[in-house]
Amino acid sequence: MAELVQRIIKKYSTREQLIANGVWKNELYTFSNDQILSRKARGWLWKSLLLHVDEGDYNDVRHEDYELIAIPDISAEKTATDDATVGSVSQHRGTSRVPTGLKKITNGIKKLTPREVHTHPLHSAEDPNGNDGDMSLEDTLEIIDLDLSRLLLDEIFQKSEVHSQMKQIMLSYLVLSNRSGLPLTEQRFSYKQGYHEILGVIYLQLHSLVSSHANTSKATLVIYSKLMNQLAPTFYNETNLLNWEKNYFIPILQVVSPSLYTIFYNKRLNAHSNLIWLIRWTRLLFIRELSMNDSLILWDHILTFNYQLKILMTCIIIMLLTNVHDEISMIDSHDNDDLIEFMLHFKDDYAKKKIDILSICKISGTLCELWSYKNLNGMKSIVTDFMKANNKSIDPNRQRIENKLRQRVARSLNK
Amino acid sequence: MSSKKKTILKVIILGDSGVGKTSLMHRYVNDKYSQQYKATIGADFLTKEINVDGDRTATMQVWDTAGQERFQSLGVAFYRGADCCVLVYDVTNTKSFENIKSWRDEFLVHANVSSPESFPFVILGNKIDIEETKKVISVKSAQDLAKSLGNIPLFLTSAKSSINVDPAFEEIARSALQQNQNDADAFEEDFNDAINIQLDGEADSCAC
Repeated sequence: MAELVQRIIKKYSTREQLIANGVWKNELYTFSNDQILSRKARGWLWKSLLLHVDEGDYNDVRHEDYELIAIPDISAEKTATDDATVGSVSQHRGTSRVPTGLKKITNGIKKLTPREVHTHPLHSAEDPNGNDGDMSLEDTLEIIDLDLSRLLLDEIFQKSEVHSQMKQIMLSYLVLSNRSGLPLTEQRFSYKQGYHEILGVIYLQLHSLVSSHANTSKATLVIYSKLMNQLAPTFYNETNLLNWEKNYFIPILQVVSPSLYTIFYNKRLNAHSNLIWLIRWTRLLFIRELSMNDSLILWDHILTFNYQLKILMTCIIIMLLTNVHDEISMIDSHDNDDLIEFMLHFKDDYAKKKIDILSICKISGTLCELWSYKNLNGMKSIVTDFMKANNKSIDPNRQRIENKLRQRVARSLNK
Repeated sequence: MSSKKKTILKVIILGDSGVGKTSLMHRYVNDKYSQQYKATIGADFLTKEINVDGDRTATMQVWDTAGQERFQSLGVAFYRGADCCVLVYDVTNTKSFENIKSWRDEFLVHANVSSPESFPFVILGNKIDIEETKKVISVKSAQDLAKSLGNIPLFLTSAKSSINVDPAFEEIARSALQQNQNDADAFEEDFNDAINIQLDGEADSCAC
């Protein structure tokens, strides 16, 4: 790893060069024959892209906002809340995020409602940050425990010390994203399933890179928070996810690939929503759809934050669909059950077709650039060229008819 | 001609996170079990060709859903067109049992079923392979709940040890098929009414 990093440092004198040439021009992946960066090398890359610091500098003042919160003992918290003060709870937690005005205010009087509210009680509009959570601390910790116990990305997640570390990072992120001055036990949290897998991927790249558990936690929290600041509001908030599909995914797909648009948004009676598959594709950033190596290459590009995540995700998804345009065209168009099933089990089918993930990243970046200039014709011609190069040049209508015939024969043989 | 049309039975599995929804789906569809299922994100489904009552065949779509999140608009997308809803709790988890009613209500709010009072539900108490001392929901409590919710069929299952999964899904298939048939009949009735109204209207206009 050290040799690779030295080569990278020698080649790219600035972070901007690393991003532009190393990542987006794919130079980094030519350093090894199989395009695979080791975990350590990738950890270093993400640290360089997002933390902008060298090894050992995780306590850098620039990251003082990313505070690790100690996991409270819920049973002790309950007892304390029942018969003591708010102050005693916040002291137990050991966090400096609790406003001093809320400490030691009740002197043994049971607190029925919070003294301070942060939103108007009749105001029903959603948080613009997409924070739509309504789980108590206890429920949140319980579901985090459950999810971490079935995090299967790597065996290390079965170790109790790693479990505790991950739980602490997750809670710290949730408290940070809440931006609430309320004591922990009074906050509501917006943890969603999927958060844990994103955290797991980042943790895996960093845990062998940095020298201590505390440094791993801090570095992971910083990178995770920076990613989730864009990911969570757009894709983990239901309303925003619907708006993303309506305002970005559908319009861009319609422009760059009318044939794919027709397949996915054909006005069929009782058609399933495409969000059924898009929700997992977007929330987990492709880790269930692609091989881990391909996913991580996509993540390298995403973590440069060169483009807005909602645009880049749209372009990547469209490129992935374009890559399997022929296979999608052949799916029975009578109803979209088969199409949704194909998309939900994309990995099984996709594995049959070799994908050039570096080209997909590169072209997705170009599409984002063109979108920013509203060069829709340029976008369309790039996608069309890619589709021609990567798919057999059989008329899709003919393919569809052949496929229907094949399915009819199969059905009659099954009877 | 209509009898040749493929019958698709959509079955939705709901319940708290970790009760074994994904395991039940895989046990029934693939007859496989793994200790290692990832959390379901949104929803997923598997299909199985089934014979119902010996002479009828259908394709059952078994929809597995995320147990942690209460979806609003997406809930409509997941539940729409369902023919049966399976409510799952874990016999070692009180909260999952207490939430059965709210899952049923959640489904009825979002699924937009034509007759909520007669829509088929089935309750599954899963993980009965676990040792007795860890079980916290008695059979009596489960039966009482099933009765109070309108005599919903109840099965105590184990996806892990393959106990009662097939009989439960046979019942689910029968209920789903019945519901599917009822919906088809209602649709046909509405369609004929619409034609009759149109014909009546045309006669009036001729008289003018």
